[in-house]
Amino acid sequence: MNSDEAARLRNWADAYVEGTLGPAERESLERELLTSAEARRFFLSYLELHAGLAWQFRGIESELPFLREVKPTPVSTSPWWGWSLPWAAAVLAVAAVVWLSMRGAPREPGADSEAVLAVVRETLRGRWADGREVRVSESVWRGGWSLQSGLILLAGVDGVELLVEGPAIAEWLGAQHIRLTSGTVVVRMPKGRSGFVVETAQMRVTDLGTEFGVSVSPSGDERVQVYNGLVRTEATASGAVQELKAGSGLRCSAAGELAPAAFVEDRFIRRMPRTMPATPGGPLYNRSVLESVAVMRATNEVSVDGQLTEWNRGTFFKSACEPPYAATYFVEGGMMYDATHLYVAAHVGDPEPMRNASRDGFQFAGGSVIVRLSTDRRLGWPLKGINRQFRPTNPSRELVADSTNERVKSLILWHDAKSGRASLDLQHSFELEPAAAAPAGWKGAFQMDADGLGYTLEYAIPWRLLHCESDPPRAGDVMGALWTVHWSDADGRICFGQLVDVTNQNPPASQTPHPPAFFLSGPYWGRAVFQ
Amino acid sequence: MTTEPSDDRFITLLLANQSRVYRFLFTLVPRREDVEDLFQQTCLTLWQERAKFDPKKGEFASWACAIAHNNVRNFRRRESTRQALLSEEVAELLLATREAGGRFSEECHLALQHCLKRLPPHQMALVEESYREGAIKSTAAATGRSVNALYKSLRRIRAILHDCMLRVLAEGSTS
Repeated sequence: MNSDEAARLRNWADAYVEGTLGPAERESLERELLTSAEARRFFLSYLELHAGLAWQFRGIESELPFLREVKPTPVSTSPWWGWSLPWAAAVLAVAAVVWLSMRGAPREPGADSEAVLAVVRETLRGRWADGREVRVSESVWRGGWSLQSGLILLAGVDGVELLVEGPAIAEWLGAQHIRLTSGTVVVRMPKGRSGFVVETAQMRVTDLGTEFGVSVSPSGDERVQVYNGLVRTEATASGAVQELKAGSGLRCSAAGELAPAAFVEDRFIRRMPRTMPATPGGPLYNRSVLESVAVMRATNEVSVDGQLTEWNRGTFFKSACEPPYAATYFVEGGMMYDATHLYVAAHVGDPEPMRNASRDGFQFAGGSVIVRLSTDRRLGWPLKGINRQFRPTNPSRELVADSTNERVKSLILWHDAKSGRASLDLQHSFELEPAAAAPAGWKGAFQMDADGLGYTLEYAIPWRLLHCESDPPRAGDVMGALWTVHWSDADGRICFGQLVDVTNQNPPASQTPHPPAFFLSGPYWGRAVFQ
Repeated sequence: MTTEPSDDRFITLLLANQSRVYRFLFTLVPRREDVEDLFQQTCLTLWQERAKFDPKKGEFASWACAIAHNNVRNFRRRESTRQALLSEEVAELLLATREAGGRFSEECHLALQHCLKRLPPHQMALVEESYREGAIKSTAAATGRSVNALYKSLRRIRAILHDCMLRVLAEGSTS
């Protein structure tokens, strides 16, 4: 089929799906379809496209057809027909609601649907990495997927339930087998069933009839924690096997070493919260349009009190989530510096401000601002370093050096609700290596907005903590930088969404990661311009 | 092992396969409103007939699509004067081509998912807004564009997606 024939057929297909196909065109289309198998395949693929879009973007409220009114069909004149359809719809509605809210997963293995391995049973502000909202009853197919934020409950066709907390990257390999690249998942098997496998880079965790959680941090740190029953863990590198009982935990370092870990009940989210916050909100997600942030020279001593009296707010950038959430979820951020310190300030729109429960390993998820910054001018801009999971198999020495440069810093800033204090965590390089010891010598302060719908933070961080006290950034330097804001639920535990900004607006044309993964890839970072 | 699936298992299968049934209906009926009605009727029939589903005899999706096909035949009889439908001969031939293609529908679905990820955000937003049920007129009003202009943009984006899908299908990969 040449391009003219393809264009003509596509025009007819467009008119067909839009309901504007005239009689003469229909006759021509039918003649073509009757005589050419190639035309039929072309036409069918176009219908699949149209159908796929229609399905994908149906409203959530119409996802379960039995929850909608069913129109009576005039195939029978029996008075029973008009009565039986609403009745049947009501039965279906009850069945569906009961199933969705109370029943466990089915007990019998699926005999079909080899490509669809699970469906989304519940979602709490779940959003896929490409920005699409996760929808109840959406199919999850064999293969990889990435959850940007929120919490979703997946029901596998083989009975397993998976509670996945975003951000997470995973892959369904089979009805009883997933690979977790990063993020957290809690696996719950139906009574009497076992054998589900969670595979990570360093471990293979096999359920022996149980409920357990597995997490993989971006730095490669992996944890398993058992809530009920037993699991078997096997280290990929050494083959070492351990069985874990309820109430125990295990940690596997990026180097593949297994070690017992304290059982912390709150480490994983085990149940879908039953109540939604009353505050306005929804899927949180932005489209980055900013490439640089100005880092101003501090001309006066900065008093870290959250009042920002020493700051010129005219130099702040503003970024917001997509409408209709832009007025509620936003950040106004600024940076300053002097010979001894980096200063960070931000005003964050947040209906659940300063609630962070500081979950071990997931402090960012409870509401946080993360500022990432290179303090090594030799790295230039754009940065080249990338996390190991995205590096080529045989990376150059220069690429490895850039990727592991400890003067690339991630500053995680949050308010710990338990202590009522500002908190700081530092990670180094694109490997996000944790600091050897808790950082000391920094100052931080938070102030809640008068209306309770946001907060202001202010930090002073010595260059010493950023490994550049002898050669701090100076006027004229252009350094790689990236800002991320996370919002949480009312309990400060679950990440409800995030905003990523100050990004390279002309990134490399090769495989583009989604914004939630920009932090692992230097070429996508924007610029901090020191004034 | 019982041959009659439990209700919860049945609903799981239905949820897992409803996208296939919906897309199958679009192969035979072009109008969105008709597809929505037929989809509801089909889901209801599937529920009423659930005791007859035997996993040993074949896939749930095949059984569900056969019931959907019956509903379309009834619809066709009722709507015989409607000009929007292709002739029965052509429709059956399209179905035969679809079935002969093995996993054609699933491969198209995967290819579309792959191609959607590469769509620029503004085009993605237009597709999403336009395909929300009955939203094309309101989208036009909200954006200050005419319905015709919107259809034109939509055609252009569909063509981009279709070209991408055909390329992916030809290469046999969505990686």
